[in-house]
Amino acid sequence: MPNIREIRSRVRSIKSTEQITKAMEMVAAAKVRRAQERVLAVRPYAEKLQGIFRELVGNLPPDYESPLLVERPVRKVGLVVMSSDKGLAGSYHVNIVRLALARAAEWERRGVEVGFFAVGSKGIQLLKRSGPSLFAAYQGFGAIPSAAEARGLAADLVDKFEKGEVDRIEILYTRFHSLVRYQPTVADFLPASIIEEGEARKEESGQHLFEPSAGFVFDRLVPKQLETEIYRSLLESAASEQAARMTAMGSASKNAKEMIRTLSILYNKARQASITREILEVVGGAEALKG
Amino acid sequence: MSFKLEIVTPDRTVISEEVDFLRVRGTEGELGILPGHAPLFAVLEIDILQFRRDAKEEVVALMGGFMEVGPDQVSIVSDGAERAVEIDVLRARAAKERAEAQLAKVKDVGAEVALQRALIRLQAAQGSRAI
Repeated sequence: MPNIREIRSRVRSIKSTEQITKAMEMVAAAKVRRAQERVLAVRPYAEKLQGIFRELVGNLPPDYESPLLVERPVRKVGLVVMSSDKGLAGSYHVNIVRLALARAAEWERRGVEVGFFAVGSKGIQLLKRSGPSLFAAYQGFGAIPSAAEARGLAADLVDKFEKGEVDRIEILYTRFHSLVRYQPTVADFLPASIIEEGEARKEESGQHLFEPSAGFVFDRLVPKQLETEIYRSLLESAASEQAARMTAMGSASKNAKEMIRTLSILYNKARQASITREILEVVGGAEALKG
Repeated sequence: MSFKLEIVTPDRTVISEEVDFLRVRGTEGELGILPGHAPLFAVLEIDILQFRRDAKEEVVALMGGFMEVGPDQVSIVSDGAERAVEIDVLRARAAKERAEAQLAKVKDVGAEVALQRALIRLQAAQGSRAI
Protein backbone atom coordinates (compact mmCIF):
# COMPACT_ATOMS: atom_id res chain seq x y z
CA MET A 1 0.00 0.00 0.00
CA PRO A 2 1.46 3.42 -1.00
CA ASN A 3 2.42 5.85 1.66
CA ILE A 4 -0.35 8.29 2.65
CA ARG A 5 1.96 11.24 2.87
CA GLU A 6 3.43 10.50 -0.55
CA ILE A 7 0.00 10.43 -2.11
CA ARG A 8 -0.96 13.64 -0.42
CA SER A 9 2.06 15.46 -1.74
CA ARG A 10 1.49 14.13 -5.26
CA VAL A 11 -2.09 15.35 -5.20
CA ARG A 12 -0.90 18.73 -4.04
CA SER A 13 1.63 19.00 -6.87
CA ILE A 14 -0.88 17.91 -9.50
CA LYS A 15 -3.36 20.42 -8.17
CA SER A 16 -0.90 23.27 -8.59
CA THR A 17 -0.07 22.08 -12.10
CA GLU A 18 -3.76 22.00 -12.86
CA GLN A 19 -4.10 25.58 -11.72
CA ILE A 20 -1.37 26.61 -14.11
CA THR A 21 -2.76 24.71 -17.08
CA LYS A 22 -6.22 26.11 -16.36
CA ALA A 23 -4.89 29.65 -16.26
CA MET A 24 -2.97 29.07 -19.49
CA GLU A 25 -6.08 27.68 -21.12
CA MET A 26 -8.01 30.79 -20.17
CA VAL A 27 -5.28 33.13 -21.39
CA ALA A 28 -5.06 31.23 -24.68
CA ALA A 29 -8.83 31.41 -25.06
CA ALA A 30 -8.74 35.18 -24.72
CA LYS A 31 -5.81 35.48 -27.11
CA VAL A 32 -7.30 33.16 -29.69
CA ARG A 33 -10.37 35.33 -29.82
CA ARG A 34 -8.32 38.43 -30.53
CA ALA A 35 -6.12 36.63 -33.04
CA GLN A 36 -9.17 35.23 -34.78
CA GLU A 37 -10.67 38.71 -35.10
CA ARG A 38 -7.45 39.95 -36.70
CA VAL A 39 -7.37 37.04 -39.14
CA LEU A 40 -10.97 37.55 -40.19
CA ALA A 41 -10.38 41.28 -40.59
CA VAL A 42 -7.25 40.97 -42.68
CA ARG A 43 -8.47 38.25 -45.04
CA PRO A 44 -10.74 40.40 -47.24
CA TYR A 45 -7.97 42.98 -47.50
CA ALA A 46 -5.37 40.39 -48.46
CA GLU A 47 -7.73 38.84 -51.00
CA LYS A 48 -8.60 42.17 -52.56
CA LEU A 49 -4.96 43.13 -52.76
CA GLN A 50 -4.12 39.84 -54.37
CA GLY A 51 -7.00 40.28 -56.80
CA ILE A 52 -5.66 43.67 -57.88
CA PHE A 53 -2.18 42.24 -58.06
CA ARG A 54 -3.25 39.43 -60.37
CA GLU A 55 -5.18 41.78 -62.56
CA LEU A 56 -2.18 44.08 -62.69
CA VAL A 57 0.30 41.33 -63.57
CA GLY A 58 -1.99 40.29 -66.40
CA ASN A 59 -2.14 43.83 -67.72
CA LEU A 60 1.48 44.86 -67.50
CA PRO A 61 2.94 46.30 -70.68
CA PRO A 62 4.96 43.60 -72.44
CA ASP A 63 8.20 45.53 -72.05
CA TYR A 64 7.82 45.92 -68.30
CA GLU A 65 10.23 43.94 -66.17
CA SER A 66 10.59 43.59 -62.43
CA PRO A 67 13.27 41.62 -60.60
CA LEU A 68 10.55 40.22 -58.35
CA LEU A 69 8.72 38.62 -61.27
CA VAL A 70 11.69 36.88 -62.85
CA GLU A 71 11.61 33.11 -62.63
CA ARG A 72 15.21 32.03 -62.39
CA PRO A 73 16.34 28.44 -62.70
CA VAL A 74 15.85 27.10 -59.18
CA ARG A 75 19.11 26.15 -57.51
CA LYS A 76 18.36 27.32 -54.01
CA VAL A 77 15.01 27.38 -52.26
CA GLY A 78 14.19 29.19 -49.04
CA LEU A 79 11.39 27.89 -46.86
CA VAL A 80 9.91 30.37 -44.41
CA VAL A 81 8.73 28.30 -41.46
CA MET A 82 6.36 30.09 -39.11
CA SER A 83 6.30 28.84 -35.54
CA SER A 84 6.60 30.93 -32.39
CA ASP A 85 8.67 31.54 -29.28
CA LYS A 86 6.36 29.88 -26.79
CA GLY A 87 5.87 26.19 -26.18
CA LEU A 88 3.11 24.21 -24.49
CA ALA A 89 0.96 24.31 -27.59
CA GLY A 90 0.53 20.60 -28.15
CA SER A 91 1.79 19.41 -31.51
CA TYR A 92 1.59 22.87 -33.12
CA HIS A 93 5.33 23.40 -33.58
CA VAL A 94 6.09 19.80 -34.41
CA ASN A 95 3.43 19.74 -37.13
CA ILE A 96 4.70 22.77 -39.01
CA VAL A 97 8.30 21.56 -38.70
CA ARG A 98 7.30 18.13 -39.97
CA LEU A 99 5.74 19.74 -43.04
CA ALA A 100 8.86 21.86 -43.50
CA LEU A 101 11.09 18.80 -43.44
CA ALA A 102 8.84 16.94 -45.89
CA ARG A 103 8.87 19.94 -48.23
CA ALA A 104 12.64 20.25 -47.92
CA ALA A 105 13.08 16.57 -48.73
CA GLU A 106 10.93 17.02 -51.83
CA TRP A 107 13.15 19.82 -53.13
CA GLU A 108 16.30 17.93 -52.26
CA ARG A 109 15.13 14.94 -54.26
CA ARG A 110 15.02 17.27 -57.26
CA GLY A 111 18.62 18.23 -56.56
CA VAL A 112 17.81 21.68 -55.22
CA GLU A 113 19.56 23.14 -52.21
CA VAL A 114 17.16 24.02 -49.41
CA GLY A 115 17.46 26.29 -46.41
CA PHE A 116 15.07 27.55 -43.78
CA PHE A 117 14.03 31.01 -42.70
CA ALA A 118 12.77 30.05 -39.28
CA VAL A 119 10.37 32.30 -37.41
CA GLY A 120 10.01 31.64 -33.67
CA SER A 121 12.52 30.07 -31.31
CA LYS A 122 10.64 26.78 -31.03
CA GLY A 123 10.86 26.24 -34.76
CA ILE A 124 14.46 27.38 -34.79
CA GLN A 125 15.40 24.78 -32.15
CA LEU A 126 13.71 21.96 -34.03
CA LEU A 127 15.03 22.97 -37.46
CA LYS A 128 18.60 23.47 -36.27
CA ARG A 129 18.86 19.76 -35.62
CA SER A 130 17.69 18.85 -39.12
CA GLY A 131 19.71 18.39 -42.30
CA PRO A 132 19.04 21.56 -44.35
CA SER A 133 20.80 24.72 -43.27
CA LEU A 134 19.25 27.63 -41.44
CA PHE A 135 19.49 30.72 -43.67
CA ALA A 136 18.09 33.06 -41.07
CA ALA A 137 16.29 32.99 -37.75
CA TYR A 138 13.70 35.46 -36.52
CA GLN A 139 12.30 35.64 -33.03
CA GLY A 140 10.69 37.99 -30.58
CA PHE A 141 7.49 38.50 -32.55
CA GLY A 142 4.44 39.30 -30.44
CA ALA A 143 1.75 36.77 -29.57
CA ILE A 144 -0.30 38.58 -32.20
CA PRO A 145 2.28 39.80 -34.72
CA SER A 146 2.09 43.42 -35.82
CA ALA A 147 2.05 44.81 -39.36
CA ALA A 148 5.45 46.37 -38.67
CA GLU A 149 6.97 42.99 -37.79
CA ALA A 150 5.53 41.55 -40.99
CA ARG A 151 6.93 44.45 -42.99
CA GLY A 152 10.43 43.86 -41.62
CA LEU A 153 10.33 40.16 -42.38
CA ALA A 154 8.95 40.69 -45.89
CA ALA A 155 11.59 43.32 -46.68
CA ASP A 156 14.33 40.96 -45.53
CA LEU A 157 13.00 38.11 -47.68
CA VAL A 158 12.63 40.34 -50.74
CA ASP A 159 16.18 41.58 -50.23
CA LYS A 160 17.56 38.03 -50.11
CA PHE A 161 15.63 37.12 -53.24
CA GLU A 162 16.80 40.18 -55.14
CA LYS A 163 20.40 39.55 -54.18
CA GLY A 164 20.09 36.06 -55.62
CA GLU A 165 20.73 34.28 -52.33
CA VAL A 166 17.66 32.18 -53.08
CA ASP A 167 15.82 31.61 -56.36
CA ARG A 168 12.49 30.79 -54.85
CA ILE A 169 10.77 31.33 -51.51
CA GLU A 170 7.85 29.46 -50.05
CA ILE A 171 5.94 30.20 -46.89
CA LEU A 172 4.96 27.41 -44.52
CA TYR A 173 2.34 28.53 -42.05
CA THR A 174 -0.57 27.07 -40.15
CA ARG A 175 -3.84 28.07 -41.75
CA PHE A 176 -6.56 28.81 -39.25
CA HIS A 177 -9.96 27.33 -40.06
CA SER A 178 -11.60 27.18 -36.67
CA LEU A 179 -10.78 26.63 -33.01
CA VAL A 180 -10.49 22.92 -33.62
CA ARG A 181 -9.16 22.92 -37.17
CA TYR A 182 -5.89 24.41 -38.30
CA GLN A 183 -3.65 23.09 -40.99
CA PRO A 184 0.02 23.44 -41.87
CA THR A 185 0.05 24.89 -45.38
CA VAL A 186 2.60 25.71 -48.10
CA ALA A 187 2.20 28.90 -50.12
CA ASP A 188 4.31 30.38 -52.92
CA PHE A 189 5.91 33.70 -52.13
CA LEU A 190 8.63 34.68 -54.59
CA PRO A 191 9.03 35.13 -57.50
CA ALA A 192 5.78 37.02 -57.31
CA SER A 193 4.62 35.84 -60.72
CA ILE A 194 3.91 32.34 -59.43
CA ILE A 195 1.29 33.72 -57.07
CA GLU A 196 -1.12 34.22 -59.92
CA GLU A 197 -1.09 30.62 -61.19
CA GLY A 198 -1.87 31.58 -64.76
CA GLU A 199 -5.14 33.17 -63.81
CA ALA A 200 -4.23 36.59 -65.11
CA ARG A 201 -6.50 37.69 -67.89
CA LYS A 202 -4.16 38.33 -70.74
CA GLU A 203 -6.91 39.17 -73.21
CA GLU A 204 -7.53 42.47 -71.48
CA SER A 205 -3.93 43.45 -71.94
CA GLY A 206 -3.39 47.03 -72.94
CA GLN A 207 -6.91 48.10 -72.09
CA HIS A 208 -6.12 49.27 -68.61
CA LEU A 209 -4.94 52.77 -67.93
CA PHE A 210 -2.29 53.39 -65.33
CA GLU A 211 -2.03 56.40 -63.11
CA PRO A 212 0.73 57.52 -63.29
CA SER A 213 2.40 54.52 -65.01
CA ALA A 214 2.42 50.73 -64.92
CA GLY A 215 5.90 50.63 -63.42
CA PHE A 216 5.05 53.12 -60.72
CA VAL A 217 1.88 51.32 -59.67
CA PHE A 218 3.58 47.95 -59.77
CA ASP A 219 6.63 49.05 -57.78
CA ARG A 220 4.38 50.21 -54.98
CA LEU A 221 1.84 47.43 -55.10
CA VAL A 222 4.21 44.47 -55.04
CA PRO A 223 5.93 45.22 -51.71
CA LYS A 224 2.51 45.85 -50.20
CA GLN A 225 1.16 42.60 -51.56
CA LEU A 226 4.15 40.59 -50.30
CA GLU A 227 4.05 42.25 -46.92
CA THR A 228 0.35 41.54 -46.60
CA GLU A 229 0.87 37.88 -47.49
CA ILE A 230 3.45 37.62 -44.71
CA TYR A 231 1.21 39.49 -42.31
CA ARG A 232 -1.76 37.28 -43.04
CA SER A 233 0.29 34.09 -42.71
CA LEU A 234 1.74 35.29 -39.40
CA LEU A 235 -1.71 36.10 -38.07
CA GLU A 236 -3.15 32.79 -39.23
CA SER A 237 -0.27 30.98 -37.54
CA ALA A 238 -0.71 33.00 -34.34
CA ALA A 239 -4.42 32.20 -34.18
CA SER A 240 -3.71 28.52 -34.81
CA GLU A 241 -1.04 28.51 -32.14
CA GLN A 242 -3.35 29.95 -29.52
CA ALA A 243 -6.08 27.52 -30.51
CA ALA A 244 -3.62 24.64 -30.25
CA ARG A 245 -2.45 25.86 -26.85
CA MET A 246 -6.00 26.21 -25.62
CA THR A 247 -6.79 22.63 -26.65
CA ALA A 248 -3.54 21.27 -25.22
CA MET A 249 -4.02 23.06 -21.90
CA GLY A 250 -7.66 22.02 -21.81
CA SER A 251 -6.79 18.36 -22.07
CA ALA A 252 -3.91 18.79 -19.61
CA SER A 253 -6.36 20.21 -17.07
CA LYS A 254 -8.72 17.34 -17.75
CA ASN A 255 -5.95 14.80 -17.26
CA ALA A 256 -4.93 16.49 -14.04
CA LYS A 257 -8.49 16.20 -12.73
CA GLU A 258 -8.58 12.55 -13.66
CA MET A 259 -5.29 11.88 -11.87
CA ILE A 260 -6.44 13.70 -8.78
CA ARG A 261 -9.57 11.59 -8.74
CA THR A 262 -7.69 8.30 -8.96
CA LEU A 263 -5.17 9.41 -6.39
CA SER A 264 -7.83 10.47 -3.90
CA ILE A 265 -9.46 7.06 -4.17
CA LEU A 266 -6.08 5.53 -3.53
CA TYR A 267 -5.56 7.91 -0.66
CA ASN A 268 -8.87 7.03 0.94
CA LYS A 269 -8.13 3.33 0.62
CA ALA A 270 -4.72 3.77 2.20
CA ARG A 271 -6.19 5.83 4.99
CA GLN A 272 -8.92 3.23 5.58
CA ALA A 273 -6.30 0.50 5.67
CA SER A 274 -4.20 2.30 8.23
CA ILE A 275 -7.22 2.92 10.46
CA THR A 276 -8.21 -0.74 10.23
CA ARG A 277 -4.68 -1.73 11.12
CA GLU A 278 -4.68 0.53 14.16
CA ILE A 279 -8.00 -0.86 15.37
CA LEU A 280 -6.68 -4.37 14.97
CA GLU A 281 -3.62 -3.46 16.97
CA VAL A 282 -5.69 -1.94 19.75
CA VAL A 283 -8.03 -4.93 19.82
CA GLY A 284 -5.09 -7.30 19.69
CA GLY A 285 -3.39 -5.47 22.57
CA ALA A 286 -6.54 -5.56 24.70
CA GLU A 287 -6.99 -9.29 24.04
CA ALA A 288 -3.41 -9.91 25.13
CA LEU A 289 -3.88 -8.00 28.40
CA LYS A 290 -7.03 -9.99 29.18
CA GLY A 291 -5.21 -13.26 28.62
CA MET B 1 -26.42 54.44 -63.18
CA SER B 2 -24.14 53.63 -60.33
CA PHE B 3 -21.18 51.43 -59.51
CA LYS B 4 -19.99 49.58 -56.47
CA LEU B 5 -17.36 51.20 -54.29
CA GLU B 6 -15.35 49.03 -51.98
CA ILE B 7 -12.74 50.32 -49.57
CA VAL B 8 -10.84 47.65 -47.66
CA THR B 9 -8.18 48.11 -44.98
CA PRO B 10 -6.25 45.54 -42.95
CA ASP B 11 -8.66 46.13 -40.07
CA ARG B 12 -12.01 46.02 -41.80
CA THR B 13 -14.08 46.73 -44.88
CA VAL B 14 -14.82 50.42 -44.47
CA ILE B 15 -17.20 50.91 -47.35
CA SER B 16 -19.05 48.54 -49.63
CA GLU B 17 -21.91 50.29 -51.34
CA GLU B 18 -23.34 51.59 -54.60
CA VAL B 19 -22.28 55.12 -55.49
CA ASP B 20 -22.87 57.51 -58.41
CA PHE B 21 -19.66 59.45 -58.34
CA LEU B 22 -16.25 59.19 -56.71
CA ARG B 23 -13.42 61.67 -56.34
CA VAL B 24 -9.94 60.69 -55.12
CA ARG B 25 -6.46 62.10 -55.34
CA GLY B 26 -3.95 60.12 -57.38
CA THR B 27 -0.26 60.85 -57.53
CA GLU B 28 -0.84 62.99 -60.63
CA GLY B 29 -3.84 64.89 -59.37
CA GLU B 30 -7.54 64.50 -58.79
CA LEU B 31 -9.48 61.69 -60.38
CA GLY B 32 -13.20 61.76 -60.83
CA ILE B 33 -14.85 58.41 -61.48
CA LEU B 34 -18.29 58.13 -63.03
CA PRO B 35 -20.07 54.91 -64.02
CA GLY B 36 -18.59 53.41 -67.17
CA HIS B 37 -15.08 54.70 -66.52
CA ALA B 38 -12.28 52.99 -68.47
CA PRO B 39 -10.40 50.27 -66.55
CA LEU B 40 -7.66 51.89 -64.51
CA PHE B 41 -5.03 51.19 -61.89
CA ALA B 42 -3.94 54.08 -59.73
CA VAL B 43 -1.76 54.84 -56.74
CA LEU B 44 -3.64 57.06 -54.29
CA GLU B 45 -2.32 59.75 -51.99
CA ILE B 46 -3.16 60.46 -48.38
CA ASP B 47 -6.13 62.75 -48.89
CA ILE B 48 -9.86 63.01 -48.54
CA LEU B 49 -12.05 60.92 -50.78
CA GLN B 50 -15.54 62.00 -51.68
CA PHE B 51 -18.37 59.98 -53.10
CA ARG B 52 -21.93 60.74 -53.96
CA ARG B 53 -25.03 58.64 -53.85
CA ASP B 54 -28.46 60.07 -54.72
CA ALA B 55 -27.17 63.65 -54.39
CA LYS B 56 -25.90 62.83 -50.89
CA GLU B 57 -22.22 63.41 -50.51
CA GLU B 58 -19.92 61.68 -48.05
CA VAL B 59 -16.31 62.26 -47.10
CA VAL B 60 -13.73 59.66 -46.16
CA ALA B 61 -10.21 60.24 -44.84
CA LEU B 62 -8.07 57.92 -46.94
CA MET B 63 -4.53 56.98 -45.92
CA GLY B 64 -3.24 56.37 -49.42
CA GLY B 65 -3.47 53.06 -51.22
CA PHE B 66 -4.33 51.52 -54.56
CA MET B 67 -7.38 51.75 -56.71
CA GLU B 68 -8.62 49.46 -59.40
CA VAL B 69 -11.43 50.67 -61.58
CA GLY B 70 -13.26 47.77 -63.18
CA PRO B 71 -16.36 47.58 -65.40
CA ASP B 72 -18.90 48.09 -62.61
CA GLN B 73 -16.82 48.20 -59.48
CA VAL B 74 -14.12 50.33 -57.92
CA SER B 75 -11.89 48.65 -55.37
CA ILE B 76 -9.59 50.59 -53.10
CA VAL B 77 -7.13 48.92 -50.76
CA SER B 78 -5.63 51.22 -48.20
CA ASP B 79 -3.63 51.20 -44.97
CA GLY B 80 -6.49 53.02 -43.34
CA ALA B 81 -9.73 54.78 -44.08
CA GLU B 82 -12.33 56.41 -41.89
CA ARG B 83 -15.71 57.86 -42.69
CA ALA B 84 -15.96 61.46 -41.61
CA VAL B 85 -18.51 60.59 -38.95
CA GLU B 86 -16.19 58.01 -37.40
CA ILE B 87 -13.28 60.37 -36.96
CA ASP B 88 -12.24 61.22 -33.44
CA VAL B 89 -11.51 64.94 -33.83
CA LEU B 90 -9.86 65.29 -30.44
CA ARG B 91 -7.51 62.44 -31.14
CA ALA B 92 -6.67 63.76 -34.58
CA ARG B 93 -5.98 67.20 -33.14
CA ALA B 94 -3.71 65.70 -30.49
CA ALA B 95 -1.90 63.68 -33.17
CA LYS B 96 -1.45 66.84 -35.22
CA GLU B 97 0.08 68.71 -32.29
CA ARG B 98 2.35 65.80 -31.46
CA ALA B 99 3.55 65.57 -35.06
CA GLU B 100 4.12 69.31 -35.25
CA ALA B 101 6.12 69.32 -32.03
CA GLN B 102 8.21 66.46 -33.39
CA LEU B 103 8.78 68.25 -36.68
CA ALA B 104 9.81 71.43 -34.88
CA LYS B 105 12.72 69.46 -33.41
CA VAL B 106 13.86 67.33 -36.35
CA LYS B 107 12.78 66.68 -39.91
CA ASP B 108 11.37 63.22 -39.68
CA VAL B 109 9.53 61.37 -42.46
CA GLY B 110 7.40 59.42 -40.00
CA ALA B 111 6.25 62.59 -38.28
CA GLU B 112 5.52 64.22 -41.62
CA VAL B 113 3.27 61.34 -42.62
CA ALA B 114 1.62 61.42 -39.19
CA LEU B 115 0.97 65.13 -39.57
CA GLN B 116 -0.47 64.63 -43.03
CA ARG B 117 -2.77 61.91 -41.75
CA ALA B 118 -3.98 64.06 -38.88
CA LEU B 119 -4.62 67.01 -41.18
CA ILE B 120 -6.61 64.89 -43.59
CA ARG B 121 -8.65 63.47 -40.74
CA LEU B 122 -9.48 66.94 -39.48
CA GLN B 123 -10.29 68.14 -42.96
CA ALA B 124 -12.58 65.18 -43.55
CA ALA B 125 -14.33 65.68 -40.23
CA GLN B 126 -14.89 69.33 -41.05
CA GLY B 127 -16.00 68.53 -44.58
CA SER B 128 -18.74 66.34 -43.26
CA ARG B 129 -20.02 69.13 -41.07
CA ALA B 130 -20.03 71.66 -43.92
CA ILE B 131 -22.22 69.37 -45.99
